[in-house]
Amino acid sequence: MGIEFLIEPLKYDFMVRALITAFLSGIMLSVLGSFTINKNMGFMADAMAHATLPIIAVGVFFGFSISSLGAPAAIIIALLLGFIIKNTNIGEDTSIGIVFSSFFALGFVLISVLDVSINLEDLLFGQILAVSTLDVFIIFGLSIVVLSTLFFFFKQILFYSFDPIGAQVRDLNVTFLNYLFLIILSLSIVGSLQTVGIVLVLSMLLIPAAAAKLVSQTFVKSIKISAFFGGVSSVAGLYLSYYFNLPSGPTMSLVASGIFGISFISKKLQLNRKLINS
Amino acid sequence: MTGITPLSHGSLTIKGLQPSEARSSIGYVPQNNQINWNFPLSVKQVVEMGLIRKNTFSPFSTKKNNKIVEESLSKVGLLERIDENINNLSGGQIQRVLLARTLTQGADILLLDEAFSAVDIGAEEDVMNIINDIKQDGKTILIATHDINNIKEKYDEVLCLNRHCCAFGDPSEVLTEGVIEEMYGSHNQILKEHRPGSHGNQNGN
Repeated sequence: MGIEFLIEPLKYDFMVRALITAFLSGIMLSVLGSFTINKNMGFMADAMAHATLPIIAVGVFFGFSISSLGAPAAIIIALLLGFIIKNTNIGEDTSIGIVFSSFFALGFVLISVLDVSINLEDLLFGQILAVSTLDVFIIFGLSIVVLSTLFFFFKQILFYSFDPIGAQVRDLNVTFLNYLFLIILSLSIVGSLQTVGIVLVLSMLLIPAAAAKLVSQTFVKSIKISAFFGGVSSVAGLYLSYYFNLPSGPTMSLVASGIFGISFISKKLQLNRKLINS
Repeated sequence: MTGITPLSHGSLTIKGLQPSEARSSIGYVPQNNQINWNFPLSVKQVVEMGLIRKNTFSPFSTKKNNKIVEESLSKVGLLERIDENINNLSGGQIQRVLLARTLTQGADILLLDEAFSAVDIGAEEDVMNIINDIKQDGKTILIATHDINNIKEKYDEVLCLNRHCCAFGDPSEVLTEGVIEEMYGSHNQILKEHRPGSHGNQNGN
């Protein structure tokens, strides 16, 4: 045990690539997750992950790799979801539900009709141990784009998210900010599909952010703690999956769930202590 | 007035400008339910939003902005709560924070949308005192409200609306029983007889 425990998996190139990818995905998703949970956009994020299936099916049919399809797929989905929500009056949840289920169904039909060789289990639960060097560069590039966009537009996106009408009166371009957030959210989700897959990407997006919100008082602090939880969940999950021969994506999600459980209990204990002392 | 909702008829200019061009002159306090209270923001972060513009690309606060925020907060008597989570504040204190946000802008016209809908009577008085102080600085303050209690004591002028202009002027003169009934009374009868533009001049101004 000790340092050997940490170094041993690094003997394998695939583990190094997996660790870098998991760490970057974990941080990127959990930082955006802090906005997502406060904007109540969990369902939207889920729809974004599932709606990628037909785009991936068509892309793979034409010879593209799944990771190289990430950015265009993310942008198409973000713009489409944003457009449908803005231009229909059937309610946001309903619009998202329609896009979510229709695209997911279309994806399965296309995979069957086009006879595309996609391992569905890998797509649903991720296959981080199979990431290539190109995949690492793609996720690194995506992380830089997503996190730097959030850095430079932090105040504007926060204002728009907190008080959309006030931001509009202040003459901020709220339509641009809305689509910008949807695009970076979609980029981070689609970019992380290889890591944790369609089904589990939501857990890496929402769970570290929710745990951080429980244990922090301010928004900026919750983003920092969420990034820490996200990074720890990804790396610890990957080490556990290596040593106990567990599926890596689900293990990373379970570590995040464990962190949430601990945060929840410590928050409850803290509240109880306050009640007793008062 | 904020230029967000298109005009259905008539025209509106603010200092000779179209509403969408005059936004820098307007400080806006939104209705409580239009704000996403999920965000655990500090009082400082909310007040500083008044200084955010299209070209704000730094997530950090400048010394100059910090000073403006502190001055605005001390005007509404909440400087000591600057680092507090906004969700820990009472309804009246939140209104004061949102007022401080408009003060950071240096706007000449303050637009308050249902400013007293989530505050008790005591807090309403506190907010009203601050509004009177702001008025002394030469600013124009417009308050949209459904509460007509004590209007005569609180406001200099009143514009009574019910899909059209029912009355405008000194509240002690224009706020007659007939006007109140026109605003809050039997709508069916009133709407049969009144249409937008049926009061005022032919342009509907």
